[in-house]
Amino acid sequence: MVLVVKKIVLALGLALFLAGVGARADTLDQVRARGALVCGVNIGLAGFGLPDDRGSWRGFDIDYCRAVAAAIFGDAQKVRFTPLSGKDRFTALQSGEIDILSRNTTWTQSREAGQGLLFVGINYFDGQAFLARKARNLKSVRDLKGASICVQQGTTTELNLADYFRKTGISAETVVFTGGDEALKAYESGRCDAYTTDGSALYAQRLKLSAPDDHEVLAETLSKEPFGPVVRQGDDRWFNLVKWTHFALLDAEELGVTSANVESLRESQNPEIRRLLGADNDFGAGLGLSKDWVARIVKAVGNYGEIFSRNLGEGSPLKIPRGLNAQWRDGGLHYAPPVR
Amino acid sequence: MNRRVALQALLLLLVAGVFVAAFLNARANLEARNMPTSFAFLWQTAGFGMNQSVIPYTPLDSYGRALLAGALNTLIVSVVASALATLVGFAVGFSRLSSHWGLSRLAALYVETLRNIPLLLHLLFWYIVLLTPLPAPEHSLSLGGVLLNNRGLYFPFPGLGWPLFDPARNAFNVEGGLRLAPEAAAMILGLTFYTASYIAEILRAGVQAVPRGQIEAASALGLSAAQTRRLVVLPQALRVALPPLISQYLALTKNSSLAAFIGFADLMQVSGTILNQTGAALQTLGVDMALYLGLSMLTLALMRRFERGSEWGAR
Repeated sequence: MVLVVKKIVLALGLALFLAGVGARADTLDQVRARGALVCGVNIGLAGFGLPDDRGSWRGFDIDYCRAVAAAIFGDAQKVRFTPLSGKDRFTALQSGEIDILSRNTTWTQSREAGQGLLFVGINYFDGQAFLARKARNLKSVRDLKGASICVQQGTTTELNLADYFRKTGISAETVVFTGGDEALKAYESGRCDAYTTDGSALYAQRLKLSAPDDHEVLAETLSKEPFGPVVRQGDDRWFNLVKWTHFALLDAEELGVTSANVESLRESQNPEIRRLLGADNDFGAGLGLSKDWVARIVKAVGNYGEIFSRNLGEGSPLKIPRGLNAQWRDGGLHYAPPVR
Repeated sequence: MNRRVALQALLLLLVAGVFVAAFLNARANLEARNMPTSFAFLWQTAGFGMNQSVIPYTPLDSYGRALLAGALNTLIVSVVASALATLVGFAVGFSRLSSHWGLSRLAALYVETLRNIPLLLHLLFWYIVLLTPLPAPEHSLSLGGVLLNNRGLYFPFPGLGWPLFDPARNAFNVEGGLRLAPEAAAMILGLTFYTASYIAEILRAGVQAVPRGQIEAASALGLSAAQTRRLVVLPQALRVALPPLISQYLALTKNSSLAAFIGFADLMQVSGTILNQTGAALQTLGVDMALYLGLSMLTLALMRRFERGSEWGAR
């Protein structure tokens, strides 16, 4: 009996030890040896990550995984997607089950300081937003003075709302629901004048209404919800690779490099474009990638603007305006360091 | 004998040990994850709003007060629904026993349909049924100062004034008056009609448990049918029906925890928000369990008193 217990303890210890070692090994080498990138994604959020009718994953977060795969393998299909719930997402990354977490995850201090994670940057600026009837002609959240507001219970949704009303000194009724569908239904039936949750989810839920065009998402947001891809701490090369894939997507858009013109632009005389596409010097080697890494990425998934438009923007049913997610030159917040 | 006592003591120690170990383990794990381990959060500022509360509550009040407001909402809805469910349940139960064929079949249909539908569907149904046909606040239905719209039923009330929709003051809602929100109304209707189907059956079981001889004896003594029902059948039927009836009141109180699905600020809904904000999951759920247990004990104590005080309980 004692022997059996000893054996179990030993086996467990070994498993833990191996898991620890596994997590510390070089991620890029592991991905190469495996022949595929393993990406943790949302179980299903329209525009961000959702399998289409043929079972192929599509979305903004999905294209980020494909961009990394294209940079490593020159093939955007070499990705395995692991759908994760909000609860399991960090454990899956910490344990080494996935290489990247690309799942509309908010960058917060405690997630980096307390949970061994690193955010590579912000690829989507989100915030708590409001859905309201167009006929009301609301200019700002402040105009909802005295209104009834349906809320989906969230980590800080109710708090942000109450804080806003305290700050502005106006009052409104909040009706709190556990489920987004029930909250949306109550809003649609006229119980509430507005419905609030994260903006990214709001655009998708708007499409569930019987007349989506009668409703609008107010431009004003109550909170900062910066989303970005996440990697484990302790592997700087991998962190750099994913971070620069993100920057390359932004730089490509800023320089006008698209999936359509990337081949012809290799002959461009613009030195910035030549550096980005690896026409002169090799900027990929330092990341463990080939010289034409950016060209591979853009050829496979396009630049940031193309990814945004295809999944979230004008080219998608969601029609989310670029807003804060525009390039810095266009009044947005995206500003990527240069490749040089 | 001594051996048995020793064994019992050992078992007791073992059980206590498991509980202590579980407690210490939980505390150590919570500390390791930087999660709160005490009940101090109950005195911190809650920060979130609540649309219906019988005690004054603002976001500046504490989490403890928010929990109390939620618990009182649970209590009120449960008490009102229990009373209404008893009325409806007795009516349906007596109808089912009635010699009138149509009435009896109708009551049977009520019982068999309503008790076979999950309570959550009852609540969602009533919520949608209440919201869909009612007009927006600017087109409120009005009768003698009482206003009705899809935000609730507004009564004139001393101190709260007359309910009034004045776009200059509030473009969205009626101001003033005492208000019954659609969430609370749907809770009461759903719980009432669902629980009434069980209470009807309990009453039928109680009446049918009264021996036929009792009724025959009553008529032999010259009592009328009404007198027989009131003086002979009902007291004996209720004696049988009371224990399962109490179970129904307890079940109703616990069933009200589905409120968060239709936006009613009951104890569980408020706890959900507190849990999200503080991360104190074990403590919040512990307080919830204690409060539900307290409500149940209160119901039980009241019913026992009623049972002992009435002639029905005496044997």
